Amino acid sequence: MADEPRRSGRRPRLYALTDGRTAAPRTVLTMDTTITAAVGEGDDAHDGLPTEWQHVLALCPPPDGRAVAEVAARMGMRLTPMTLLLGELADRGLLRHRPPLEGAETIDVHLLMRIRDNLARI
Amino acid sequence: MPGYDPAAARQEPAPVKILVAGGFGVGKTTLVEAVSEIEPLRTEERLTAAGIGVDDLDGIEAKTATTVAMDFGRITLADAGVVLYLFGTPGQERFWFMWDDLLHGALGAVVLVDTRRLERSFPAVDFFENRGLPFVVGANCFHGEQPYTADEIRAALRLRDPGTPVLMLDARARTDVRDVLLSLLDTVIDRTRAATAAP
Repeated sequence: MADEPRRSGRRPRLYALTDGRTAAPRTVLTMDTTITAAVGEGDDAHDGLPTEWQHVLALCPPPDGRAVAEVAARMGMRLTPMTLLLGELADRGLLRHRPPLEGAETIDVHLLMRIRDNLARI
Repeated sequence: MPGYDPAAARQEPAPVKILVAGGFGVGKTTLVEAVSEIEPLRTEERLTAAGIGVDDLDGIEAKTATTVAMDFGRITLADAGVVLYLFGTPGQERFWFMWDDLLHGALGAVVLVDTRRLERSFPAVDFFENRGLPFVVGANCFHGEQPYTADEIRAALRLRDPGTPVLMLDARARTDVRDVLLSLLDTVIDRTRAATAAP
């Protein structure tokens, strides 16, 4: 099940996870970026990927995706290595990303009211 | 941007961060657990800062690294199109004050206080006041009891803004925690209105 924490005794080495690439990815992600898998099981682009990458993609299925911090926690990885790995996957078109709300959006009173109203109903 | 498809990305709820601060052992993770739709998760970051508590200025030794852990939970608010992430520190709070990525873009904070150990919450109050991040104070009532009034707690914390809400709560009670978050939203809304109304 996708929501179960996936932890092993050892942290995977970053160079193994990034397929040997050490250059910084072009896509820069933050801990509160939402990422969503762009490929899934059964896609040709998916099935040949390293197992660890498939695990990552399975943790952020569409339509909702997951925050980078949550994927890092479920993979048992620290944030910085995880953002590098996810940036690499984004560079390759294997996942989409949505930046967090910032600037004009965070100070939009109407959005804040919608959040408040929705929260009042939980 | 590679991999970024605005039309498709519109579907996903946008993450919004709320920080839960306060002294060690005050019940931050309990508070997160009370409202989260998932079991709280723990993530770690390695922070490096030049010369924290180190007086050796010799190259590598001048840099110290420390691992900071965060416990967090989430609340999906589908109608608003956002997902709230509540981040609380299990300890070592003085270190996450240096964690800019955590603070960047946060909507606001809840400062949880234990009135038996009020001084443990002073750093968090000072920090958010200095950074200008809106916050509310939640006084955790251990065993359902709280000998102090909200005004007494407000005075003891020497809050810079006398309008800062101080609420009594049981960090284990979902509705209490929700009410504290609603109060935080009200504070953020008031502040945003005041900012946009200003000439």
